[in-house]
Amino acid sequence: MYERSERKFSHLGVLILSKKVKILGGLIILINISLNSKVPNPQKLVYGSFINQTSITNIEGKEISIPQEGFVTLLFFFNINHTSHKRILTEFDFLLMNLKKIDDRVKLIGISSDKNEKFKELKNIYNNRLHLVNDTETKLYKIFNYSCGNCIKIIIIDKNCIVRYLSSSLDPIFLREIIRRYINEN
Amino acid sequence: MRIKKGKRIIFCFFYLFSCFLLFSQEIKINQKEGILQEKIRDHITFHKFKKFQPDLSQAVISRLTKVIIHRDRVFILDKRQARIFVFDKRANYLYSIGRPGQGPGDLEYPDDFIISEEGTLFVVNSMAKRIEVFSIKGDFQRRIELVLPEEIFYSNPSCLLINSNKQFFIAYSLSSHLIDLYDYQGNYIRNLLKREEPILIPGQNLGNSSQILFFNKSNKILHFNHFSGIFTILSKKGEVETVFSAFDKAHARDVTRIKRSLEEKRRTKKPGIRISDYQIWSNCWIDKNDIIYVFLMFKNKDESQQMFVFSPEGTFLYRITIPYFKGIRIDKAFCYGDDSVFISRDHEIFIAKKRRAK
Repeated sequence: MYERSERKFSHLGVLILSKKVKILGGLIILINISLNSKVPNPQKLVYGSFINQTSITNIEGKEISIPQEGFVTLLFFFNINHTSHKRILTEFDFLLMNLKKIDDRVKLIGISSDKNEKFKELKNIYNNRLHLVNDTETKLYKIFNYSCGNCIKIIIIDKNCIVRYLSSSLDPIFLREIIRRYINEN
Repeated sequence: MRIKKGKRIIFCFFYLFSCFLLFSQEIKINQKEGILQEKIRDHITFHKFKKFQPDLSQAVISRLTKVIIHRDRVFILDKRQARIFVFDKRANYLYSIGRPGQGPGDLEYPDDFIISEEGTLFVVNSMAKRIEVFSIKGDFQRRIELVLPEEIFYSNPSCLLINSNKQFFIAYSLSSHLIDLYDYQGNYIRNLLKREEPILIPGQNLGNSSQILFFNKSNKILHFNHFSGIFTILSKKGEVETVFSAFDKAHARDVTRIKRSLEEKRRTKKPGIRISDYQIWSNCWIDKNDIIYVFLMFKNKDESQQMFVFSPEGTFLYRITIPYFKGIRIDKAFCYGDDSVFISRDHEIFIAKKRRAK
């Protein structure tokens, strides 16, 4: 007898929201309308979306462009203070191990909006292999539709700046396979 | 008075009809003794075992999920690599179908695949709730988006069957529906079988542990729960005909223990929907005579797994051990014509022929 798997789904946020909407009724809708009138609605990010290059400064003070043409880009959105995200970070280590042979052709970017020393500590762990971006102004959060909740977000962008993969789970082997595929494809 | 009499007659008719429906469902749960247990000559066993060793220089298999033998080819689904590797019967690599990704023809955590009689390949893209259709040579043909009913928005399809009317039977990893029927465009038609235990959202849940199969002769549908060991036979129309299982002390003890620990886990509320999926029984398989086989799995590698055999009507026939599998834990098995395919926990593939015990 074996325990096969324990999975966590991302749909929960939607469910909680729908319950709250029922309780608060029109009030929430009114707040949403007023917020939406101030913030332009970001374009829906789906498989095949083209991403315009954006410059951002990483925690070392270097300017990097996301995505970078000619490179496969992996964006990893997370929150360093979130317990479940911390657990996922260990799986990220495993992904980095799996990408050892090809990591010169892939840009790995970890993004978090927390103003936190712990996030800066990650620099010592990942050294040059992972670009860390402290997105305090949530610039990238808005471009890539990430609203930090219970879930992380993984986005893979191909060499031509087209979104090829979006997920809220991290399976190192599966991600390695997808990255390999887009490294080899033109 | 005449109207009252008429009403009574109608009432009696419906009462008798409902009694007929109720008792037409045969229940054979926890059958203790197989009716052919002592008649060793009637037992079926396996011989001519061959280990299928694929050419690893061409294809490294990471998570062996399903094997289908179709004509002279062996199709192996690797869930993790999101590919179907195709070999000839001598284990020479021929080509692969699908690739990891989210675009048309790409696979993302494929849980199951089938090959129709016409030679079309249908792969269940579990995470994306889609079916990708390929030709037998691997050319992508079309994508079918499954439109799940709203009440099971959280469910992911895990098992697939297709009937001669090109309708899909779908089972899920976790859902209040055990089997649903969809048309060829992916639209939901109706539910055939419901789950009895409630689902906690958010919370810890026991997975559906579903496997669905067609009987060869009758075209009835068999649902098997590889945690509880309960089989359900459904008619072509989807009516429950028989519910059956065999009793094993160790299994009953494990089921109780797991259910208790799950109840404890359920008390600590955690966000999200969590699925605990336990495998106590292997996948079951049906031979060309509609005899049903299943292995009961054990914790220790030294223990021999026992194979339980049932008649097409769900009567427990006998249990035997297969000496060849001593120390090998079989968790999946399939039957294609004369070939029986066994997959071990260590991702080894064995092909064997069936014969009567002497």
